[in-house]
Amino acid sequence: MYYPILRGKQFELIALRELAENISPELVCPVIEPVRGNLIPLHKTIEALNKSGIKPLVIVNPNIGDFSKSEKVLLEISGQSESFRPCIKAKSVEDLSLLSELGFALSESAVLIDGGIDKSFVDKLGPASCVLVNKEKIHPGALSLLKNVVLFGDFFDKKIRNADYEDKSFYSSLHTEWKSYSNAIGFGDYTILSEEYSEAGGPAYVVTIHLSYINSAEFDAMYVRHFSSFNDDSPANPGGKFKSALEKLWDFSVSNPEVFNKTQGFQELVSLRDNPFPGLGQVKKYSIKHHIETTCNFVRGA
Amino acid sequence: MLTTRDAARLFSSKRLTEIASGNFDFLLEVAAHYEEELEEEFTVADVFECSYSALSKEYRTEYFFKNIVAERLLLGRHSLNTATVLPEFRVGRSKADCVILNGSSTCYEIKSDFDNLDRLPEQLASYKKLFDKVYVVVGQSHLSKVLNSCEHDVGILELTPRKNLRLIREAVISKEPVDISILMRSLRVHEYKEIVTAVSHQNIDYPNTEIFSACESILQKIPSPDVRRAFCATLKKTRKIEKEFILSLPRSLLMAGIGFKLRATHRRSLSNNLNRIFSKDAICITQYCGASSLN
Repeated sequence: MYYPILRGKQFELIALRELAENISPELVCPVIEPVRGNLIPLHKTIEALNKSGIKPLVIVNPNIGDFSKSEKVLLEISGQSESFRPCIKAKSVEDLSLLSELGFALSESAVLIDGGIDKSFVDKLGPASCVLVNKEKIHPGALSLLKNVVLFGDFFDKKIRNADYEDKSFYSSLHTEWKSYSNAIGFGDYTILSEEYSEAGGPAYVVTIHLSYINSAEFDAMYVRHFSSFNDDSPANPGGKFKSALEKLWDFSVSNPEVFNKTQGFQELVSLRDNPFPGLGQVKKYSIKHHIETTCNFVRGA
Repeated sequence: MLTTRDAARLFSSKRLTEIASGNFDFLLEVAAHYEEELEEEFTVADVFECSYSALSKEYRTEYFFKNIVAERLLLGRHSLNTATVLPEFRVGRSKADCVILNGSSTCYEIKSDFDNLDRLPEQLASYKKLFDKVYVVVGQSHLSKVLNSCEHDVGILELTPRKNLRLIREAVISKEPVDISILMRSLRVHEYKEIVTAVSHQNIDYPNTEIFSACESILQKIPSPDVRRAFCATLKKTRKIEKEFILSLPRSLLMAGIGFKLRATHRRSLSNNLNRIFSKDAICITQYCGASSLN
């Protein structure tokens, strides 16, 4: 099972809503960390996912975006237990008590480990329905003692400036190897975004489109292709820059038709040729959709 | 205790926004620094004036220079009805400190005694590609260097110890063609659309992926004097300053009012909060609080 971790920003949520009909509850379980005080778009997204039989994990103690300032936020999300599975972002064993404050049992909840994990913490996690851990930030000894593990990582090789992306970068091989952990029930990632959360960035001098693909010649490792526009040392003309990046993508996919899965996200992106530039948020949305769909295709085939 | 250098940060967007939203902590720290110059009861505006006159005497920051340029040249020579100022206007890889537009465009690049002159040649070269006249404004310490190193078409103004701007050399009006590539990248979409419409008498209707290159290629074919005129006329409208608000501020905040992007609600509350009265007791109390919070 694939657990893409997404922040509840506008376009991440829209990506999930648009994908809802297209992804299978057997293959994917989105993890949503709310970042906006206005919960209406989140509720709409949960509803859309529910219609397709998908019950997402929702972090009920968010601490980024609109929730970064306040001491402790516990979300009251409507619909409750039928519509989503609560997930606690836990820095330490004490944070588990937040679940009972909200009236959830550990056995019906997920725990996302956000920091180290010691022996006493491991002991308490036995009943949890799902434990999400960053594979790079846990000792193999602790990992081996956990049950119902979802391994994830922060794989996207983010650059500070779009101008710094090379043609492609390695993403991850976790989707091919998570099954070798007998206690793992799935794997996760932050799609083409990174774990470090950022609000909308400043004006970009270069527009870059990111597209994920499975590299069959390299044991099915996942890679990301980066298609960057020209760079004119100014933030002007985002529309023209988008067009230039999209033309590069198109030319590449015509010459290399086998590289990208022809997902909904991919089709929607290339259909923007000869259409107006819809804004960078939309472009990011298509890349996220394409990443999730490509990963689901792999999970289905594997 | 603050130094004059710390107190100078009162003239920053961050501190002004704080004061507009009713947070006077930093202001009162500054007031404590200038306690001797303040009356028993003083207004927020008094603290700004005190701080500004200390800048004038001991620590002439870039803000101080800009404010003098705005005060002497914008208010002193032009009228706010016919002229406007562009603070921090992007030109190529540089940002022009202060550009005044009336019928023509004049760029003022400020080099305070604390600034370094390394980038000046590159900056001036870009500015000359866009503006009708270019001046460097310096204090005494950079004057001879700038006088020797700048090309003769660049004007020079010296900020004198008595806060006047002394004309050292008049700028020559540029006869060079405008660099359309730089001009286009300095403007917002609606601005270059309006300029192109004005000079070409064409209806500009392109998708957002094409509009930039379409406008750029139209402008390449237009005579420079026409482009210069349309540039001034358009930006005088689109970057108009809020006259009533600017004039309601103490003179020390002239450039702050023009350059800092305050929200409408903050502009209103700032005008009110500047008149707020404090007494010296308040300084003592906050200092006491400050001291106790350290424990």
